[in-house]
Amino acid sequence: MDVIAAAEGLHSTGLEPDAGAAGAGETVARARARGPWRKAWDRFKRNRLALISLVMCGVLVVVAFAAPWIAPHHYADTDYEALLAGAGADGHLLGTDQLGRDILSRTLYGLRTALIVAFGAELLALLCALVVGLAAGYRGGRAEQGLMAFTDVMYAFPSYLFAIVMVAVLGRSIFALIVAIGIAGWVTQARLVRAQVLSIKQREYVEAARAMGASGPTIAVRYILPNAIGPMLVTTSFAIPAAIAAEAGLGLLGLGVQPPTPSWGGMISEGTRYLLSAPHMLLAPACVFALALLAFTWVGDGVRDAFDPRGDRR
Amino acid sequence: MTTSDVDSPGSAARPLVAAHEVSKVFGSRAGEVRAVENVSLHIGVGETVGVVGESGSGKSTLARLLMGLQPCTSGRVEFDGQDLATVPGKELRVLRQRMQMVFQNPFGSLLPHYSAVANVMEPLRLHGRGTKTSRREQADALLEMVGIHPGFGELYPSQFSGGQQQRIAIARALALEPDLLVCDEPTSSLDVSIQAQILALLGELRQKLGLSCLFISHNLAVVERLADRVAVMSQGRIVEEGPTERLFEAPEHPYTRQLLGAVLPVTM
Repeated sequence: MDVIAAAEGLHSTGLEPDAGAAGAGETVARARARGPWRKAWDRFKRNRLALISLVMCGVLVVVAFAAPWIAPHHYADTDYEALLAGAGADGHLLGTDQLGRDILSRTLYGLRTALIVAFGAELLALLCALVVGLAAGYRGGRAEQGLMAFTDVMYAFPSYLFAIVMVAVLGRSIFALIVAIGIAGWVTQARLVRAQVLSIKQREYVEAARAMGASGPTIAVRYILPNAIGPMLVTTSFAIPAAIAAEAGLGLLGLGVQPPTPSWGGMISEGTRYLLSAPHMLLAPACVFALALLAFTWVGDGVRDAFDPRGDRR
Repeated sequence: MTTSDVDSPGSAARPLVAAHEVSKVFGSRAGEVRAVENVSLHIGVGETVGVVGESGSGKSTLARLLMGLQPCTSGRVEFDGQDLATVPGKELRVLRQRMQMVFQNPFGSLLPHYSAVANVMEPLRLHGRGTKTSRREQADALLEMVGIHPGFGELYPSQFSGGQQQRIAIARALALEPDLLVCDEPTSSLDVSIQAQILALLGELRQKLGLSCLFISHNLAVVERLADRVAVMSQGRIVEEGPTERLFEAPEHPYTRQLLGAVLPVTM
């Protein structure tokens, strides 16, 4: 390479590396690379509550995944010997419901339903939001006009009403719930992506990338997108507990998954009918529901602080 | 250090890049802003041209026009005989290998999510030069050339000081072995001692690599030291242009005299 060859023996002017983050040669081994992701993780780790919540969420996900193996009964198995049995009944740790179904097993399966719907819906929403938001923010034009028009329509529509319509059209299935909740949520996120892209587009490194000879798609996907993802992670991590709540809410309204597949909303709704005679029917799903919501929300808090641009100044 | 490159071909050389009566008008709510008006400027092969002027005089806009980063409102810019406005996007991106730019704010112009060495490798990757291993070797050599220990290559831009960031930016601009290097106030965001180092580095690289250079600064001492020829800009126009020595010894235009008079002599 000519440049290198020509520059051989060019270290004549005593160009020592500046003092600063990286100084003399022997610190090379100790200097640790801290990119934007590493920094965010370091900041996240400092938040004890968020870290515990993250572990909690991990446990919830594992339990949901392993529900078929760890649940003592199948969620639809009925035990007519023990209808409305209280907690601690023979073979039913948390008791049974009015059909003699094991509450613990149903709660575990309900967790599974809730997480599949919440993660599915958020994944769908995030993907749509990234693609449309990036196109709208970077290219402008039709994608932008379309997004803005669609957003206005969605804003005019209460999202629960929208979800109800979707479930009515698509039927009561997990897929329908994912689509209903995902579509109700993606527009707000797409607008956020667009706003992020618009602000990052003004940054000097985007112009520098153009000067280097990078093409539009390269700039959008390789340089802008990675820098827009942090803030998107924040909204997504708050949207997941919201989606869990939405799934339970639809279940409560009788629009959740098709029975006998358990959903927390459905279980809570049934539980209220036997509130006085069998309060355990309500308590178990409600407690786990609350626990899951709190854990995911606290993780969201941690993620938000981790990506806060002012975070490192403390 | 000598004030300028003695054996430079000077303004008589074949122009590498030339602006012909270019103007740039920005529309804004307050009305039109004429950032650059009717400016003609050329940079010969191997020549260093300095552009000085106060902030808002249109220097940076002129640089962007010469780089083809913004379209001219009128006039044309030719790079090696090709009108930049007529070169299709794809070919323009290829042509960009031959002209690179160093920006005013080094931290802002480096990709924050790429390590130092990845930043230097990026232009090579974009233009499909070499393999991943060879790019890495080149990037390490370039970093070493600008005085960054390659052992720090894995660190991210935010972990370097301003001067080091600007060195990385210079290494990146040189990675493609450009014919033209446009430096837009490369030292104005750095403190004085680092400025001197960066200027020494640029002066040396320019000589060794035979670069053509457009050097923009509001600091007259910087331009006097590096440029063969100087253009003085005021309110979007070039008010005076001439060989560095002549211009500094016998300024003709009152604005140039005013500029020279306003600056304390700086010795390096």
